[in-house]
Amino acid sequence: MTEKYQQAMKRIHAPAEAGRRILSQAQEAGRPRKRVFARVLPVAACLLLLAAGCIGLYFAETEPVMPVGRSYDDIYEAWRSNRGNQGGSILGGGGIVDSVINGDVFAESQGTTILGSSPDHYETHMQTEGVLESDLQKTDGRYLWRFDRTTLYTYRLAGGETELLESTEMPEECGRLYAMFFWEGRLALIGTADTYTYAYLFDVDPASGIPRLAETFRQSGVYKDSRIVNGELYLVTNHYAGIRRNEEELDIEKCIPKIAVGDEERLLKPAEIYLCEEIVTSRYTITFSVVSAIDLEEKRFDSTKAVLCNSYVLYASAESIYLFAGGDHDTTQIFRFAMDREDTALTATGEVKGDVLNQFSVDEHDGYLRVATYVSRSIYVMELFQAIRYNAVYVLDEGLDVVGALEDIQPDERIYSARFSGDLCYLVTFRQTDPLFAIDLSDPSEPEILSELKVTGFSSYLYEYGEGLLLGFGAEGTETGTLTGWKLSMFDVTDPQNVTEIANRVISEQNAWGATWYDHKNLMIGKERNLIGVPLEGYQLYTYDGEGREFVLLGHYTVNGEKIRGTYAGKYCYVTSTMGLIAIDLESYEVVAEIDLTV
Amino acid sequence: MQANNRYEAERLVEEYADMIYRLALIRTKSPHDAEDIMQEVFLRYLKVHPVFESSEHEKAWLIRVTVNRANSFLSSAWNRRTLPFDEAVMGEHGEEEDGSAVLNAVASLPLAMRTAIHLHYFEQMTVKEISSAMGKSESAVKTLLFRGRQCLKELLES
Repeated sequence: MTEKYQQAMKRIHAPAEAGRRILSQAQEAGRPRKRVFARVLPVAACLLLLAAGCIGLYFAETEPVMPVGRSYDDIYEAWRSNRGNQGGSILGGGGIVDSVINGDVFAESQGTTILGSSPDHYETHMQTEGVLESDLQKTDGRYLWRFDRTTLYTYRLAGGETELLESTEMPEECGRLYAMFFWEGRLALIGTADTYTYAYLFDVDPASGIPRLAETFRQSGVYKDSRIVNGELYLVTNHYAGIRRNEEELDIEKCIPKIAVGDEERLLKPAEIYLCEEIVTSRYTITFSVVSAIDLEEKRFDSTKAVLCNSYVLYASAESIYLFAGGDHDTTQIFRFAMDREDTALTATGEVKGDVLNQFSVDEHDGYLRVATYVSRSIYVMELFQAIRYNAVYVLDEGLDVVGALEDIQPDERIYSARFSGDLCYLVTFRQTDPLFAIDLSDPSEPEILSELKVTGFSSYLYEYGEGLLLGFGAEGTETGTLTGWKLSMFDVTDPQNVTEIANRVISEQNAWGATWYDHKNLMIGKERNLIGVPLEGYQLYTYDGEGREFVLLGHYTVNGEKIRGTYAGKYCYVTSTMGLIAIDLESYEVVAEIDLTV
Repeated sequence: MQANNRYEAERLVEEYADMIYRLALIRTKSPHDAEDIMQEVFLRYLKVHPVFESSEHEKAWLIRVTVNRANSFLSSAWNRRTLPFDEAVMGEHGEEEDGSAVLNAVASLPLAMRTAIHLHYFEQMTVKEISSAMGKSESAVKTLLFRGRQCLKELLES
């Protein structure tokens, strides 16, 4: 019955006309747009089209994974002919292939061990070794930088003598900041304003720690995600290009993504845009996901590509960036780009059923891509119909064809966290109690559940904490599934067939729907120092006592402000918020310095 | 009024137009009203420009506003039309044999009941999320769902 309701409802769509009206109303009420390019464009566009035509011909011969545009009209046609497709076909084959994989194909697990944190200071967790991830604060051990909205704060870290050095206001055109990286004496800050995303590159004066703006990069779209690998910033944005009526001409200037370094701007060439001819694309607007490789040394765009999709999750392996884009409610499309400064080319596409929760639901290992998804459905059971959720793990080969699948994991529940580790996948689902599954992926064609551990509550984040230990952070609950607060858990995973919970501690009895739920970067997990920081009810510092098998509270601190984040450097832990900073001595666990930004 | 971000508007429409329209439709049973509500919800978002921690928060906010907005439409004369829901809807959206019975059945349920049913079975929201969106206690939502299922079963079997 519910399936029929779902099917019937799915056929109902908001009228496109209404959508257009909303946008034109919004536009009229908005800021007047700059008209600088209006006169220059037509000539420029003609020249670009000519150039693009030539380049397009060249590219056409090299048989890319997906066709690229030969002209801007191609792009418009591809979108228009595709608009409104429900459930695209799976590119490159797909489906489950019955193949036998030799056991000895699998090399030593590279997994997702975390080696980034030096003992000296804390580093934002890197899902993939060597691939830097952004955060709202960064430290090099001597200085700490943190942004809020449009301000960059520089602190000099010195225990009790810690001081605020400078508040740097971002340039006026910068909207809101979303991400920051620190790499080799440089800071990169990323923010989105209006229709562009800006990446600001700062040189940090080694003597003073003060950042000085060195270059500004600009890319069309709203910020999606980013990574830094070997001095190359990979920036992904989603560019919404506007509703077009069938009869209207393509407005190149408005639709086609642009990139700029300083004041030098250019449109993407048609050959830099992939045409999704068989994949579900957006219904109302032409949407591009734009992937750029920006060279931070040479201060230039090395390569930019765009694909017609609206990506919602990004996962980066050591060599590739995977974008996950929604099909309907039912499928997720996967686009793989090479993390290659020469050419961030699209190297494969694929599709899986279900939705991907976040970056930790994905892992590339030994040439295979493993993806955990959750699928929703309803069935009529025992004279009642119920919303049934089940979860799946898919294994895809290098062509992103599905070669193995485990579906129907724990019907009636949904994935809340996942973590891959070599040949294993740990999966947490939850409705009333939380099974933590250990899934064996050593045979890509036959993923297999090895064990299932039921505990109350659920973990929303899993972290490998050392020899056979898996740390979980999440919500505590009753046997019937009512959430009662937050907790830390430690699981023994030395034997995946017999996973046990060896410790858990409720650390807050607040309503379990807070910021920490959604962003794993809120947690400071310093494995090397055995230090765990959680911004709940102020800030709490814990350590894990392996012998006593318990989490020990080291200190509980009052912190005013929001977006509380902890980090450590040397002998101190520094906790910042929108209102300031406190410094905690890691021997006495006392607050030795307090900086209040509001005075 | 804050300056509107053209991108925000496009992104909102792209991601949420259908969701809001469908919810408004099941509440008001009028495509015309549903369109107006959708318009109002989006413009409210652009005017207020709330800041969300995540898309789940954003979705929850939009649903809450849609539920509230629909209330002001429900007392209008339009709602007292006698045209069956599915004809009113299907006339605009095309033929559908099978689904019309279910749609009609859900639409004929009392307001709160059909809202809860829609949010649970179509938008896949949990009881907790629905209680927050509708401003009702969790036990009230559970009751709505339970009774809703029973009513639908009776309606569809007859």
